[in-house]
Amino acid sequence: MKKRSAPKSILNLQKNLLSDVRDRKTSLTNRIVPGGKLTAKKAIRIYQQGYVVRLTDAIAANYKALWYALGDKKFFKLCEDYRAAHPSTTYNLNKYGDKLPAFVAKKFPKLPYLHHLAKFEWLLFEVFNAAEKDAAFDLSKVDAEKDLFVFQPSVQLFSSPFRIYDLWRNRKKLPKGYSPKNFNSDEFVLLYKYRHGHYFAVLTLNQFSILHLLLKGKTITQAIVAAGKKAAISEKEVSELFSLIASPGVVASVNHSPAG
Amino acid sequence: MGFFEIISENYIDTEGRPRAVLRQLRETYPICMHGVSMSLGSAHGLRKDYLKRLKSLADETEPFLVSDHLCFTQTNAHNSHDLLPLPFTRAMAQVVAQNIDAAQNALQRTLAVENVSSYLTWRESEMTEWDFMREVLRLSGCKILLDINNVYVNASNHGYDAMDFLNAIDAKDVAEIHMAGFTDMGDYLFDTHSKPVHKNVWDLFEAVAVKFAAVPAMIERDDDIPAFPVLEKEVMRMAHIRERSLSGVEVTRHGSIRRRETKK
Repeated sequence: MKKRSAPKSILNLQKNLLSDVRDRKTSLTNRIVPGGKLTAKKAIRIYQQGYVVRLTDAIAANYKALWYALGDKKFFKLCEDYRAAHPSTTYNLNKYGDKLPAFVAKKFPKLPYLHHLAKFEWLLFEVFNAAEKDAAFDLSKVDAEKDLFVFQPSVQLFSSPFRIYDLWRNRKKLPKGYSPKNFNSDEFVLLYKYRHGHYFAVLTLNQFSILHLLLKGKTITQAIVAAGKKAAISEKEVSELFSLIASPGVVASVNHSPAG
Repeated sequence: MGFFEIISENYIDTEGRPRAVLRQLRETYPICMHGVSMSLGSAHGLRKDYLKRLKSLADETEPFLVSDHLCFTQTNAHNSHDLLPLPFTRAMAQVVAQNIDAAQNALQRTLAVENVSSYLTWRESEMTEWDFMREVLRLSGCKILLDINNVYVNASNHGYDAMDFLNAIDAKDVAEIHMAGFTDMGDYLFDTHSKPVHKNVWDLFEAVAVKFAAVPAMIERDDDIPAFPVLEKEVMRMAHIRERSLSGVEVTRHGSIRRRETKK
């Protein structure tokens, strides 16, 4: 089919309708024949309300703990401000809230734990949508000097100056008027999944540092030596970490190519 | 169950549980992919990233049909995530046909387009909704996903006879039928997919049961979803209506329907 540019009148109509829907304007009422017993303004309002509901639902679906923490009024105000600041550009409504953690950081600078909570929830979304590869490796045959771990796509590391995982885990049990100060202590978490179930492991700083380096493509020896330069690492920490690495859902395979 | 329909966007960008469930379902059932984000009426054309992801999903799922809506959802800047109505003009039909052509080329499949429910129409429209649909078909060679609930909702909202729409559509052009429930809002009918199919929509289905007897049909339910046996009962009702309607007719070797001759 020969490609022709769309007439300007159609381009403008679509641009104006979408802008009316998004910004709750009524610039097109004289061009509309409303359905049923509606007025033109009321007909447009149906689409305007649909826009609000869909985008708010999309945010709420991925940020349930943030919703608990803020309460209805503040959460829906946050959604309203986010909609205004970030009109949707994605074709996938499920991904609409991807910029919310950064937005929360700006919106609530005095409550930084909210930003970390939002970030944690978005990581959960990414873990949920990640693939699970068939694992094939034998930890006992791994050469610590040369071999590299290939982690499952769902593996994510999370660190925060707040106990966000605790907060998220207990979100439905939080007493009224709880103080976020109760959650003020560093937290390091490994998130992964196995057979579609989500798993969380709270790590020490050393374990987190080693795992972080392994994820960046360092060998076991390189990772332990580099992490050990910052703080003394106990044998127990290393042993616990490698028990965790051997758990199903963390490592997909081992790359036996020589280390660079 | 004869087949299941998926909303393509719920599977397109995930490799997680939804995709695994889909693969499992596909082992036993035929699947059709129904999208809500292609924006076939978009004057700016289609998103290449979307078509690429959709093709990848279609190649893996091997659906018997890929469909989307006769509407626009986005401009080149923003997305409304809603099925926004198009003016029924010749110029608009040309834009839609061009987009369908691009989609069919990218997907390497024939596309089916669904008539949408709407709460407004445009003063500049030059033809009826069904004539617009036929014009799009003529220009693009696509198929129709005929939503009988949407026909009823629009007939009520915009004041025409639903049978005028259904009579104007040729059975050979229809690839699938949707049935769904609407909500009566007092001032208008709202396509919510949250209710059982309305009696009047069942009546329409029955009225065209013979004409569209060979077309796969399904019940859509997106909200307030009841227990599976309740939905299954609605699906069985479609089958019973077809069975009853077809009891006096037969399908010819050429696929057309004719009244069965009784031997004296």
